[in-house]
Amino acid sequence: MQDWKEDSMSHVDEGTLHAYLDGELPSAERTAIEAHLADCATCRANLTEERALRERATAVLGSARPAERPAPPLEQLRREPQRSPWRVRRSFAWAASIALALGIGYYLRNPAARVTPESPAQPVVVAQNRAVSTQEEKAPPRALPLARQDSTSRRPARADEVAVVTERDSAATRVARRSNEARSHPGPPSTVAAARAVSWSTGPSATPTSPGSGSF
Amino acid sequence: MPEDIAEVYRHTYPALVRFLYRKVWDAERAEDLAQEAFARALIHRPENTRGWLFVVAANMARDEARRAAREKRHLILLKSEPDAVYSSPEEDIDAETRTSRVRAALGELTPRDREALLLWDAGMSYDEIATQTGLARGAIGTTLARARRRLVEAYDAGLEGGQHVARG
Repeated sequence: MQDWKEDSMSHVDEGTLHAYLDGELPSAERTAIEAHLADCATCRANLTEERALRERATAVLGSARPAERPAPPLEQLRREPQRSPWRVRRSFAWAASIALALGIGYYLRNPAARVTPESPAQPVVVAQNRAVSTQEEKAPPRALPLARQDSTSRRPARADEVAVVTERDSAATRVARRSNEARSHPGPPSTVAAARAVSWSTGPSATPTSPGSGSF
Repeated sequence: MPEDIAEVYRHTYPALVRFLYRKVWDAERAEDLAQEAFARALIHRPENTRGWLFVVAANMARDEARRAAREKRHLILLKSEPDAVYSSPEEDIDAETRTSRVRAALGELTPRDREALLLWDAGMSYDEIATQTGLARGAIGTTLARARRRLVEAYDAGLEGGQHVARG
């Protein structure tokens, strides 16, 4: 039986040769082809040519392949079918940190901007306490209760709470130094200077506000 | 069934990524699409998972190509940064040149010949290729012979063209 196609010269066509090389011919057809190849030099030559072509095509195609990276666990795909889970998590983390940074910025900025006329002395007093506490290292516990009393007695003293939080940082000494400077220059700017010192000490998320700027 | 998909996943994922890469020409995107295809398989639980995956992947790649063509019109005005690179610049130039030549050569094939060739390269059998492309099984050998010849000729022609340009 000869299912394979022959041309006018009774040679095996290239499609059949490729199927033979690909191992896709049924066994009976394969046997018939092999019998023919044994007798036909032309078909043997064609087979050699087609084999080289096949290998070349595979090599060409193989030269454009992505770097193989391990597949993520199938479980991950089950949980997050639409997108690569790592990317989703990363973008969520970014969104969360931005929201947090904005929140802290808003929290720190507002009290400084909303200092009421009756409270200008507050930040200066606390700053003084802070200066004392850092200069006299043995007495930090005294400063804490004072600041807490202030914060509970009046609302604008929120900035003081922040100062207490940042007290342990090395930046606290800078706060003290700055508030000392502020104290040495009497007058209205002292309030702003103290407030600024607080916001600087808390890091980049709390961008320093210009004295004239209002709330958001 | 989930065990079955896990098995297919283990064996077919790299081939599916490769198949998709030669359609979208972006390694990360190819991975994303391959993962999405498997995620859909987990939901739909098809009978013939492997064949189904390649059909879905081919459809996704086609949609992707349409979307990319739309975006290209916008991006053409912007000088975009080069694609993410993982190796040294020297290697990248070679790899990029090679990839673009293969891409151009594949572009010379008819869509059906290209599909048959890419499916064969992804490890599909003649029966599977016939089911996927709608070709008669007996025509697959001829289709692949033509596709291979065309690919090699177009690639070599591109190579010579590139050399002429380099010399000139």
